[in-house]
Amino acid sequence: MVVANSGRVFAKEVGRTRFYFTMLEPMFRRNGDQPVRSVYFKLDPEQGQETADNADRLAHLEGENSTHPAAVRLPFFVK
Amino acid sequence: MMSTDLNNSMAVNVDSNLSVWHLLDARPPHDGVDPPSGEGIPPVYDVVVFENTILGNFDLPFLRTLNPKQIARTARKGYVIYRVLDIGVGHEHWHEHDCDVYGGEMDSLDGPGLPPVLIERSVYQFFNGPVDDQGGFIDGTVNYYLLCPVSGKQRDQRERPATQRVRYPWLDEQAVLSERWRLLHPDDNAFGSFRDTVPSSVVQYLFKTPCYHSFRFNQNLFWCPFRDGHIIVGHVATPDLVTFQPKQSKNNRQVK
Repeated sequence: MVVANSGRVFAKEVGRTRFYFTMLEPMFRRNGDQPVRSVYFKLDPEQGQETADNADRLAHLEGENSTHPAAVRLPFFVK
Repeated sequence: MMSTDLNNSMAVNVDSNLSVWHLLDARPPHDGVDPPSGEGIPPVYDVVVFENTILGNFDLPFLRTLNPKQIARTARKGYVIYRVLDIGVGHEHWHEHDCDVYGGEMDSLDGPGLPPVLIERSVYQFFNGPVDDQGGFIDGTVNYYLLCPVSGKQRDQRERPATQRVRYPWLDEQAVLSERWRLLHPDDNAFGSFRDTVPSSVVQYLFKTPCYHSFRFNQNLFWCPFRDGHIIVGHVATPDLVTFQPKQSKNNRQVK
């Protein structure tokens, strides 16, 4: 099963109740062709593992200084 | 805010991983709340077990119920989905117009906000910028939907009953905030401590502040055909066809 809407492709794996999504293009652009960072939050897959690095959880938020409404609050999350 | 790891979450940058399949992780977090129970609510089962990384190293079976390894374990429950009839994806509301006849869609950003810091419309502007519009997030977050019977004990197709109630679970793309697949019903409104403090879903507001002026939600007037068993699948002639099945509901109301 595959469906697409709102910039996402959503799919179900055959024979399993596992679901996947992907994006083919950035949701937003600014300053011409610069993508605005799209971020989602999921359960930390490394929690409980000896090799887990706590900094990994927020690495994707670092360096964000966009004033675009879709990303302007991201620096607040890491404070 | 996130660095304190109150909700066991990580951030994923989608734009750095375009055209990459992301596996949806609908496991409830450690502090998640089990789904509700009641008439018309499907059974739930343990879907994840968390173990304390320190106590879990001490397996002392002779202590029986006081075995640290067992005490260190916390199971979280969820709906077990074994047969999917259809899937869907869509944005939360972007823009919506109220009208005098139908009103408008209810949205968590149209609620009382997060007092005392973000009051009423200021929570909307925190997420969407200095604009005043009707409801919705504009950060591109989507919801995922399933159309499926839900019951963990019927994984074997041979034991599948002739007809099954169909459910309509949803999951926010911010999976850790949604916690798990949830029934599309206002009763499935309990969240863990972090998300209870910072509500993000409209079902939380409908439960906490149903009388708020933009909601005026009266659950006594809410009726769910899924929970009442009217949406079924499994007729002999058309085993995969989802149909509306009129029947006598518990209050003897004939639904047409």
